[in-house]
Amino acid sequence: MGSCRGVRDVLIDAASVAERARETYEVQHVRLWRAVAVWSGSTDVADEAVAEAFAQLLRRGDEVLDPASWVWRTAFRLAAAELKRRPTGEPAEPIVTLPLNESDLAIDLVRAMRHLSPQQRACIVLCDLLGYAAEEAGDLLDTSAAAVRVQRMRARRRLRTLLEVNDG
Amino acid sequence: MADLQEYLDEGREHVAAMDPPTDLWARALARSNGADADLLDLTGSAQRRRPTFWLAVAAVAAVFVVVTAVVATDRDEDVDTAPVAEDPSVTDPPQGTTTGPRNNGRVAFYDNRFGSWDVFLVESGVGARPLEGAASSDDEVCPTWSPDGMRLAFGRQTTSPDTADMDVSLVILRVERDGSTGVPQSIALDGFRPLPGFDPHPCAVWSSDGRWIALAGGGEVWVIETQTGAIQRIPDLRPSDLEWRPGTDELAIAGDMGSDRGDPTASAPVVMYSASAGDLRQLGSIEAAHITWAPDGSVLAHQAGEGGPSSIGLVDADGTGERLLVADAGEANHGIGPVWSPTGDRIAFQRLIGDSAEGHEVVLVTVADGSQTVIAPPESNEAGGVRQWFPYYVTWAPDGRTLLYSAWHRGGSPGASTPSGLLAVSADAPDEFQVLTDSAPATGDYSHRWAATQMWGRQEG
Repeated sequence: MGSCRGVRDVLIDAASVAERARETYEVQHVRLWRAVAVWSGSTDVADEAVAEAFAQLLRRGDEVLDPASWVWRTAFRLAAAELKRRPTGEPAEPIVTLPLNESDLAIDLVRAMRHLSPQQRACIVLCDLLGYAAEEAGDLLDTSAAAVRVQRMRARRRLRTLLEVNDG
Repeated sequence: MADLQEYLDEGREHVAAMDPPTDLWARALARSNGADADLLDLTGSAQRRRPTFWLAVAAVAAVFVVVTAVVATDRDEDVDTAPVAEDPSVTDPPQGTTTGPRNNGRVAFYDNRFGSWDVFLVESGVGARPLEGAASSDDEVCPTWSPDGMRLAFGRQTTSPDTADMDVSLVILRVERDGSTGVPQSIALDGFRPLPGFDPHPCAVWSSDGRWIALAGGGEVWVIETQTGAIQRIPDLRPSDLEWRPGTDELAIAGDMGSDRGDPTASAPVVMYSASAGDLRQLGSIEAAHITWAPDGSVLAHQAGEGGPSSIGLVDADGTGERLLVADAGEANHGIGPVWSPTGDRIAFQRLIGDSAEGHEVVLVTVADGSQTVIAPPESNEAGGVRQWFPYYVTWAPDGRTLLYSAWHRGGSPGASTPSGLLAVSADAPDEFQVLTDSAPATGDYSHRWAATQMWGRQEG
């Protein structure tokens, strides 16, 4: 009896884990994928990082207390690891494979963003392109809202220089 | 020529039109079951990646998850600031590479080693120990010493398990040199509520004569007469700094923390509140988020909040004589702004190092001539290698020659949040420092931080 209940409990636990992961996926995956794609400059990298992040979430089950934050951090880390792994011999830079042929400004922006540090780029993507508040971005990036604000300010300053814009 | 906002607007529109592939969830499910048939080659070639690649990726991810991250490591020293629930068995042997200062009193801090927040005392040469008579199932937070070093004030929070209602009180306790404590004076703070997102911590700051205490909560400043427990409440204030002018009953109130934790800390006109007269007046025309008084109460140093100029200015106590002390104090995202030394000759502040996201160094500026001395993050040799300590916030010890760092260090155990502790650092010989405790969460980030200025008591050793 006890053995049967144990098996059932395991199955229920597994179903619960999958359900929770699925719920997280439904809420997060579009914005997460967009964020990683723009941050890395590559939809391929985003595809793989996001899929793998959710796969790891499924494997880890209830070890993960906050699935949304966890999957964001993991996807960014996987994407960053992949960018660093590329045998370019140069400092890791995203390879732009985004469909950007419709907007010159967007193309210039993404190219300019390649010259930001990864954390600055992440802050711009989350706060300026995806609309997260500094506090929310801090939670997702595993840092403080104050750090997000400082990095974002630096990123915007750098972008102004790179894009030679006049709102200085 | 387009401005940056136009670029960002275009970028936002473009991003909003991007959609992920529809089979992402199926890929995740397949991988979670060990399948790798759908893996794409991230280099763009048609060649399928070996399974070991994904084992490696998984290993990398796992390591990153528990130790650090590229996003986090690229912000170099960044790590989470969340406090770690400590093992109650943890002991606090005094550590450090050198002998620390021994002429100051005890440092009070709070930690959650035993399942609730409790007040601890630590001093040079003696490990951290719970405050006698204060440990309980209630949360006890934000301890500050009275200027004579004889009384400790801290907040106590009691949450009803049935209603989730929270009672908050201010406790004042006499603490003898041997650690024994007197009968606690408990002052109920009825109606005290934190700003949304902040820890519900009443963080007291003492006036120089020990008669008054000020704290902030719920969009108000509370002023409490310590002998009678009488409370005055000043509405419509969300200050980021409270500093009693030495030798007076005047409280300087600065800054605006916004409506919740996500808002930036902004500058606001500095106002002075007379606790005896109950009146409020503006101090000259300065606006600031962080302030500190000269120990004789004659001059106020001030610094702007986020988005403001990074200078440190001085103004006389009557609001006149505005002048610049530091033209560019750099950027900071931790700390409590400038802190005037008890001896009056120097002001300490902290700033971000280079492009670091959260790693700060400390700068000492001599008030007389504006000259600056930079103190690099101390490094201690541990069994696991060199630890580099970065201040969350820096304050002075009562002797005016020693700095107190509430600090975090790089590294730490897998799975742990930011390891942090308290350091005593010689202001004149920064290589001489002592780790007072390596288990003292920096809990001030989501609370009111000015209490750090009175963490270190003035008792003679």
